[in-house]
Amino acid sequence: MKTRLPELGPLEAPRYWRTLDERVETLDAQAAAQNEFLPAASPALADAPGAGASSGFSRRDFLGLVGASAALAATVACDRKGQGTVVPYTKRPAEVVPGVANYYASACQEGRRVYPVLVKTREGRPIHITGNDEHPGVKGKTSPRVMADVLRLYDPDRLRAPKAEGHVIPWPEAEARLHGTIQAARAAGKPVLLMTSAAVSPTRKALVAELKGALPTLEHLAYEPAEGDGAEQAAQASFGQSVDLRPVLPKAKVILSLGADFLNGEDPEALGAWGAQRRLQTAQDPINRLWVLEGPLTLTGTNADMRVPVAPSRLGAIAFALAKELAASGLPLPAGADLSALPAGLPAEFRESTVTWANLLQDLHHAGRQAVVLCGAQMPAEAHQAAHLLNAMLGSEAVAMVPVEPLATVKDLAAASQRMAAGHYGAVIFWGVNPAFSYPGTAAWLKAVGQVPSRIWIGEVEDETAATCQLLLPESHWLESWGDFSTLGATVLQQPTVGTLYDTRQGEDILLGLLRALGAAAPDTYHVYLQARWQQQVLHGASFEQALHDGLLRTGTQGKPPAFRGTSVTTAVKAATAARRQGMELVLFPGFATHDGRHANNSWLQETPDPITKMTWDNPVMVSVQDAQALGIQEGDLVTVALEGLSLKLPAIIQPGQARGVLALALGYGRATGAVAKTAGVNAYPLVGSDPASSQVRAGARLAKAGGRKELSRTQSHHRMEGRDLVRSLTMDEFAHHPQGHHHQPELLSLYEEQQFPDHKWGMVIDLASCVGCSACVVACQSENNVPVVGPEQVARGREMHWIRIDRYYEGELDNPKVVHQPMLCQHCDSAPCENVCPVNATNHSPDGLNQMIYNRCVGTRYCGNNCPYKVRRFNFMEYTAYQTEPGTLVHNPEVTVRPRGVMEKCSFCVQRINDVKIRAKGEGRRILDGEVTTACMAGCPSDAIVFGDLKDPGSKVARLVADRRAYKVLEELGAKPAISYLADLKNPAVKGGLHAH
Amino acid sequence: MTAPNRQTTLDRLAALAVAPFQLGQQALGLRWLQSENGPPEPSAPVLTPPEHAIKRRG
Repeated sequence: MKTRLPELGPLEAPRYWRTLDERVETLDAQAAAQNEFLPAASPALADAPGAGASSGFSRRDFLGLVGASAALAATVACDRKGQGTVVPYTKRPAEVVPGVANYYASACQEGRRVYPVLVKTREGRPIHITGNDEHPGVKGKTSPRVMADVLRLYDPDRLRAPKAEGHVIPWPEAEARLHGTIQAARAAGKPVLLMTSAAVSPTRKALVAELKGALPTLEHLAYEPAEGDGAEQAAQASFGQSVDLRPVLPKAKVILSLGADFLNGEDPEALGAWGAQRRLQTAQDPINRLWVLEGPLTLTGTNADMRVPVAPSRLGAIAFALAKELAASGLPLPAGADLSALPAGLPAEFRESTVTWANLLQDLHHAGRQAVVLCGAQMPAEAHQAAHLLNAMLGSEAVAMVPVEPLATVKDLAAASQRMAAGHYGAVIFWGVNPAFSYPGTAAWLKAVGQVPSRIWIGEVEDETAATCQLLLPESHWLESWGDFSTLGATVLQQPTVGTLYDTRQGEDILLGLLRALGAAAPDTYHVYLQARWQQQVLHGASFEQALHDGLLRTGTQGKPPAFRGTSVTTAVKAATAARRQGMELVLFPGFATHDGRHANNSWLQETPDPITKMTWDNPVMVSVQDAQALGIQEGDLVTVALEGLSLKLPAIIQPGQARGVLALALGYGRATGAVAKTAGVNAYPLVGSDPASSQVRAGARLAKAGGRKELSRTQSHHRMEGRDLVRSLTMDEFAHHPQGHHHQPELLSLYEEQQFPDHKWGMVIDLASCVGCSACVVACQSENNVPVVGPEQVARGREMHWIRIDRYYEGELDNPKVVHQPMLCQHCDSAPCENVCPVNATNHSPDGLNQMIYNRCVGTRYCGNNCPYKVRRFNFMEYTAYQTEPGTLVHNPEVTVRPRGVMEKCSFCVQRINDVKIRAKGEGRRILDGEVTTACMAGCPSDAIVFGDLKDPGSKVARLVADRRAYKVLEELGAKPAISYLADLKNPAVKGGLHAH
Repeated sequence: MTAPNRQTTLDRLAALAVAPFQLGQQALGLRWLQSENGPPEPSAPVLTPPEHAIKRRG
């Protein structure tokens, strides 16, 4: 659907809107609201060339197709496709009981972040990941990407055996080649370069140190392209060492984000604390306040109480001006910091709203130690330094400064590239990194790598870097490996949850072999090495087995944080206030689905809509409304983004709330390898700059129309509910005085008999104030319920299959709208409109209040989908799963039917989990406990916004929340009696009438 | 009303008659790719329990 940019000016706009079309109610949007299915959703219509919303499809053709379909259906019905053979174990492994799930505590890392997890396995197959509930920080929660990482275990593209010069070789030969190469380099006195991901495992660090002892010429570079060079550079300047700043939100009453997207789903600890501070029962309960200054609209920005669009290059100057004002009002400057160096005066961004500036200062000053300033990883170094200064001045208790191993910046990589080109190295080992993709100067890098005589790659899926190497060593997935990680409050263990699926080894085992070949004494396996180190240095008498069972060993608090160097301020202020280059400002950020590109081959993530843009399978450049108007750009138009002689051609989307003059583009797309990855998006890494102070915020970009359009696989206009009053957001003032606003309880009259629920009545409450829109529930549901992936073309036709979606509503003006996220799933209505219209009774009501689907009864009339006011039913237009083969099928949950073509499906309230608990409780002769049944979305929600339980139990949490002052039901006036209640969103703005006492 | 892109009956019949022959020809034209060390057979995944791991529950 073509989207027209609305003219600015007085508009009679709806209060909440999801797309620009809805904002101005274009004819297209009105037509889309009337059509239950998108014009392209019907297969025959869509495939006809030039078919539009009212295609001239003749009655004759229709009848012809019906006849042909009947004949085909009769033929296909005789097929016994999909029938398998059930073979019992001849020798059953002791751990495996058919039909009973095993759970293992383990852990993984993404960049510097560590995720302690609990892995569910069925018949030996890991199938679902949640957070480790024993960990004091994450408390059973994890990130969407970690949940989806179980699919990577079964990626058919994984390398299954070692390769040399393109040929499969056995491990002994591969090892001999590796050892020979490194020994030769040592003998020749040539250095060896080892490039790895961030070093956050203490035992792995010890192993690399031992290797360095045996091979003194070894140079180690830890490389994470998405961690932000600016942050690294600023930490070195401000503290004289690498420091990772982690928010401690339970202690924060006022949070100022300088482009920091800490609510984007990556940090379950932050999300848990955020949710806890937003679950208010009364308006007198304490609530924090989030200020966000940012260029592109981020998830954190959408949850802000106060948001100001600001170009990222201005963040440093604004934050230093804040520091000056705070110093003037009595906060002490750190030793060595020069007050006169700080810029004075009101920043230009606040000239139109001096009250906002004053409120921000007042908030920070009053909160003092309970205020924290966070800076986004991609932001320029001076903005980070300003944040460090403000935190030092405030004496913030709401941030933990953890000394970490330094990461290589683009400058370090450039230096390594030059050394490689000069023939400095005898060999290079790439382990779990892909610089051939993520280093901005690809051509120079490839040329330089070619000058190294021996190139070894250790990894899972052959990537762009593997293509430059002679020896490829297949690495085990983290679910097949041993390891450990340091986290705040606990040292976490990683243990395998399945034996290696293929002839792979974990990278540490390969390095141990190398260590032995170099003459050092080392055990045969990394498991033994890890256990020995733990016995000597970590356990202190505790049991290793117990630590494995729990997945962690609790440790004491961190040592003294590093001191802030006041003398670093003057240089940083100079950089922050330097003249800006002409042109637009381009912000390059890690993709929600892809991160730095490592997840690009994961189809679950590619198809999960981006929480802000609702884009799938692509990374269009985001343009502000004002810039799009000035350049005449419409959504989907192909544009060129040019910077320093480089130019990318890609589609554009118009992003409300994005600062004027700012472009935003996600990294991690445009991969050249991987069956899934190479279909999606454009590689934006070539636009990353060589100055580590601001490598991912680039000034001087130029945007121009390139001619042509691209169909966007974007879900935000799908499943529209005709602008009815669906989402509610309250300020604290409204919450105190009018929590139900202008809404009134409708009087519901029904011709139907009241349903009776003898034992249980399952229901759910979703707190929109806690929900940040991170989409963890979407991925958790996909993993639990075998939700298929349909691909970008099908998504563009509105055929995505997710059982739960996050509707993102804007409120207010285009240049800085407020945003509310609303998870929408089957409401399990007592008087369900879908049940009445099913001609074959394939959807009906259970005695405990579930709206259930009987797949083998469904004939696919789609009447139910038409009649559902919530638009939450999904139809299998194609055969999405039947032709899948191993290893792809191994990820399926055996407790959930895999649905064939022609069948309607939707949320089941995870009926398999309900029944599992029911059976267990019955076996133990007791009632089901409150909180014992958790749906996948509830268990996956890091901010605990979703509560599920028995509405018939008056003491249950869900029953209590249904009576909450903020509670309402979506479309209650229709009389469908949904089983899901929503609690209205809360914002705590610093405005008159909304100012909330701390 | 007939769809503008509708094929004539003759074309449809011809397609019906010719399609099996074309498919057969394509099938005969298929052959296994040859390589020096034999086909690079991807090994099938083998499910084995994890060694030394301690399960939480199950």
